[in-house]
Amino acid sequence: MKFFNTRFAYIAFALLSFFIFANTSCKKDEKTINPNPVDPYPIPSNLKLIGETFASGAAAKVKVYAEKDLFAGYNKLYVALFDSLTGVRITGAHVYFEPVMSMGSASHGCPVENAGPNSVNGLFKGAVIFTMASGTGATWTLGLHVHNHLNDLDGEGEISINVVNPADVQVKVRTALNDGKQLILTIIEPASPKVGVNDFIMAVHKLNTSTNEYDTISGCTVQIEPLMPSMGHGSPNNVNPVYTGNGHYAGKVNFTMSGLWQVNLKIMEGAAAVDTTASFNFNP
Amino acid sequence: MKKIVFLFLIVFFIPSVHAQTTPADTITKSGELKEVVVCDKHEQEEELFNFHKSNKSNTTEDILARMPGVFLIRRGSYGMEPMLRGYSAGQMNLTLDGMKIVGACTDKMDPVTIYVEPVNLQGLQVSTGVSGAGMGSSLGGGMNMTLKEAEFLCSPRPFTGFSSSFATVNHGTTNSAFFNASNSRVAWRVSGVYRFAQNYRTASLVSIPHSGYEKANVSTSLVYKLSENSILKADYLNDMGWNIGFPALTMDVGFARADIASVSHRYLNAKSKISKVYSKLYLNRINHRMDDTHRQNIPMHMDMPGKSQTMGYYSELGLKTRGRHHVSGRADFYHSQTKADMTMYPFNEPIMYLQTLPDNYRINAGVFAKDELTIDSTQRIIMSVRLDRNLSVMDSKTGNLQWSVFGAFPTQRVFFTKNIQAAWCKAVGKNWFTQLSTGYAERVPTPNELYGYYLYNRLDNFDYLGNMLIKTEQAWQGEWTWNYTKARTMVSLTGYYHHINRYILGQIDSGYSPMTFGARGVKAYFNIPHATITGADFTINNPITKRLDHISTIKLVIGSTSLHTPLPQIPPLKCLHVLRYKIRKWLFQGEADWSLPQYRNNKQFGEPQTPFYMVFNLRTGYKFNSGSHAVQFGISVENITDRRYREHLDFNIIPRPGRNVVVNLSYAFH
Repeated sequence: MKFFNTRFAYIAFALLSFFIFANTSCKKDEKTINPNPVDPYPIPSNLKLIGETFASGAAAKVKVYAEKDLFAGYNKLYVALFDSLTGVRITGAHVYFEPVMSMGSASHGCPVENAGPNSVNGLFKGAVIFTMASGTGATWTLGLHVHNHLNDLDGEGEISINVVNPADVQVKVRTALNDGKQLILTIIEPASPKVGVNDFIMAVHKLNTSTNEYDTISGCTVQIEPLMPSMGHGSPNNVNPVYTGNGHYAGKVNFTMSGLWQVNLKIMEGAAAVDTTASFNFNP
Repeated sequence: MKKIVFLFLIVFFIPSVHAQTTPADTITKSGELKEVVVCDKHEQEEELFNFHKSNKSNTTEDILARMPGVFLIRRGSYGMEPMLRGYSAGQMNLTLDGMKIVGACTDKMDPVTIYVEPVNLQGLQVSTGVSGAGMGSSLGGGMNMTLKEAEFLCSPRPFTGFSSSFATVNHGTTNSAFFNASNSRVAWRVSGVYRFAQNYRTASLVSIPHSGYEKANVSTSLVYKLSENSILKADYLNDMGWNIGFPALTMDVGFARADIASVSHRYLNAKSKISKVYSKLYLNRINHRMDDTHRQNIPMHMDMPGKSQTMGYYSELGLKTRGRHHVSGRADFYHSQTKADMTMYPFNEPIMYLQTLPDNYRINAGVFAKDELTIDSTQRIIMSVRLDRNLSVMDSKTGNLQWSVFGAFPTQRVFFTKNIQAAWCKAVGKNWFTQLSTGYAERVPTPNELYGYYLYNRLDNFDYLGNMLIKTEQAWQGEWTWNYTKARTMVSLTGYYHHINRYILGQIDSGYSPMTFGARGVKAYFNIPHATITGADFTINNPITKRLDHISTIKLVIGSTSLHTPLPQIPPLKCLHVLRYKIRKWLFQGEADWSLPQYRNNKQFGEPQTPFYMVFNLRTGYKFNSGSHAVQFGISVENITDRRYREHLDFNIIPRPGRNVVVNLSYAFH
C-alpha cells in the first residue's frame, strides 16, 4: 500500500512539473528581459536580514545581514549593495556604520568597525558594538553611509533596528581610571563558550569627546583570570590577550568544567591602571 | 579409576559432610584438594583463614585484617580497602573467583571485598609479590576470593542455615541464610545477607556521625554435572548498599549496586594428561553514587556517580605431573570501562558538571605459565612468567575538552608488562623448609593515575590530576621464608625486600590551583625514581595443650621513597595474639590486638603520627548438634577496655568503635 502511494506521488509530481515547466517556458517567450538576473553572490543561509534601505545619492540599495538578532555586544554585520537601477551587486564600496541611540533629548553612538573597500563573496563585513539594548524610550537606528566605488558617489540611508540583551552581558560601559574617559569593553570570543580551551578576544574602545567617536585603544596590557564564583577556583594555563589590531586583544581562556565562570580583567596602559574590576560571565 | 572416584569424593563430599556436622565452620577444606607438596606456606594461611572465619559475626573485612601481610585502609565502618604489604589499589590484584572487577568509585569506597560476605565466601588465596601474578600483573600480589559454589550433598535433603547477630556498638543487625539442594546431576545454592547498622559509638559512648550503613547481598550458584570429571556452573551475585557512611570523607555512598555474573566449565581428572581445565566467562557491572544530602554545612550539593563494567574470560590449565615437571598456566582477557562524574548545584546559578574520571576503557590480554620443577626429594624450583598487553583509551569528548587546557596528551596507550618469578624451596631436616624467591614485576597505571581530573583526596586535602604520560611501575623483589612444622605446630617467618622503580606518587604541582573548596593544592601523579618496601611476616600456630591453641601474627612493613622520606600509608608493626580454649561444646577465645606507634608518617600526604594501642577481645561460643540439626551461639566482647584508638591506615583521625558486645545465633539443618 505504501509502495503504491509513493509511486503515485512520483507520477503526480512528474506530471505537475511538466505542466509548470511548459507554462514558464511559454512566458519566457513573451518577455525578453529578466528583471532578476541570477545573483552571483547568493546570501548564505545562516545570515539573517536585519533591514534594507536606499543609500540615496549613491544609487545603491543596502541590505544589512547579521548572524543572529542584534544584541548588546559585538555584532558582525554583513552588507550587500545592489545597484538601485539594474539590481547588480556592487563589489567595491566603503560602508560606514552610524548607529544612534536616541533617548528623548539625549543620544549617543557606539563603537563600530566599518566595512570596505572590497566585498568578500559580495558582502561587506563590519561590526557594531551596541552598548545597550533597545527599550521604552530608547531606540536604536542604524545609519549607513555608502561610498559607491562604481560611480564614486556618496549616499546615506537608515534602518530602524531592535537590539536585545544577550543571556550574559558582553559589553560594559565603564570609566577609565587613568584618564576618566568613557571606556567600552567588549567580549568578541568566546561567543559560544565550551569546556576546554577557548579563544578569548576582546575589544577596548574609549570615547573621544572632541570627535564624538569611539577610538580603538592599542597600547594596553590585559590580564585575565577565570574564576568559578560558587567554587572559588580558577583554571590553569590561560593566555593573556595581546593586541592584534583594530582595538582587538586575543588570548586563550580555559574552562575546566561546565557551569558559571567569571573572567576578571585587569587592563593597564603602561604603568597606569585603566580598569581593574571589570569582569564578564560565561556559561560553558 | 578408583582413585579418580576417591578424589572426586574428596572434592565434593568431604566439605559438605564437614559443613553439615559443624555449621560453625562451613568452609571447604580446600586443603584436601591439594597434592602433598614439599613446601607450601599457603597451608598455614588457610588454617588461619578457617580459624578466623569460624566467628560468625565477622565480616570479610574482619577476616582479612587478621591475615598475614594484609592491612585495611579504613574510610568508614564498611568498605575498607585491603592493602598487601604496603601495596594497595592498582598495585595489587583483587579478584573474585579469578574475575577482574574494577571499582566504580574514584575514592576507592568500593573494594571488591565488600561484595563478598562470609556466608558466600569459600576461600581466600593471598599471594604476595610477583607470586600473585597468576591472576594478573601486579607488584604487590593478589588476593583472590572464591565464592561458595553449590555442593553435591550426600543426602537428597537440602541443607539450610540461618544466622543472626546483633552488635551493641552500632545497634547493627546481620541476618543471613543459605540453602543448598542437590540431586545426582544438579546442585543449587542460594544465600543472602542483610546488614543494617546505625552510627557506631567510640569509647565513652561518643557517636561517630555518618558511620551507619545498610546492605544486602544475594548470591546463587547452580552446578550441573556433565560427567564424572566435568561440571558446568552458573553464578550470580547481587550486592546493594544504601547510605553507607564514610565519616572520614566529605561524602557518603547513597546507593551502590553490583551485579556479578559468570558461567564456568571445570574439568578435573588426575589421570589425564591435562589434569585441570577451568574456564570462566564473566560480566560485572557496578553503579555507585556518592551523596552528601545527609551532611550539614556543605557549601553546595553535589552528585558524584561512578560506574564500571567489566567483561572477561579466563582459562586455567593444569597438566599432569610429568617426570620432574608440573606445569600449569592461565590465559585471560578482559575489557573494562569506567566513568565518574560530578554535578554540582549552586544556589541560583547554573548547574556545574565535570567528569572526574572521563569515560575510558581498557582491554587487557595476558598469559601465565608456571613450572614446578622437582629436583630431588627435598628441593624444588618454581618458575613463572606472565605477559600482558594492555590497551588503555580515554574515550570521552568531554574528557578530551577538559584535558585540552593542559595541552595535548596521548589518550591511547599500549602497555606491555612482564612478571617473572623464580623460587627455590628446600626441606631442611624433618620439620623445616625454606623458600628463597626472587622476581620482577610490572604493573599498568590505573585509570585514576592516567585520566583522573581533579580527584579530591580527603587525606592530604589535595586535588589529584592524572598523567597520561606516566610509565609502568617496576619492582625487583626478594623474599625469604623459613617454616617449621611439627605435628600441629606451625611457625613461619618471611622477610622481604622490594625495590620499586618509577614508583607512582602524587607530587605537588604548585602551578595549579585546586578545584575543591578548601583544598590545599593540586598534585599530579608522577613516577618518582624509586621506592623501597621492606618487611616481615611472622605467624605461629602453637597448640599449647590438646584444648588450648595459641595463634599469633606479626606484620611489619617499612616503606621509603628515593628521597628517604616515608612512603604514605604504611602501617606500623601490628600484632594479633589469640588464645582459644575448646572444651566439649564450648569455645573460649581471648585476643590481644596491638600496634606500635607510627612515627614514619608522610607529612606531605597529610598523615599524622599514630599512637600505640592495644585492645582486647573476648569471645565465647557454644555448639550443639542433634541429629541433622545444629545450633551455634556466641557472644563476643570487643575492645573490652573501651579504649579510644585508631589505626594508622584509618583516614582522618576517626576513632574506632568502643566497647562492643556482639551476640550471634545460627542454626542449620538438613
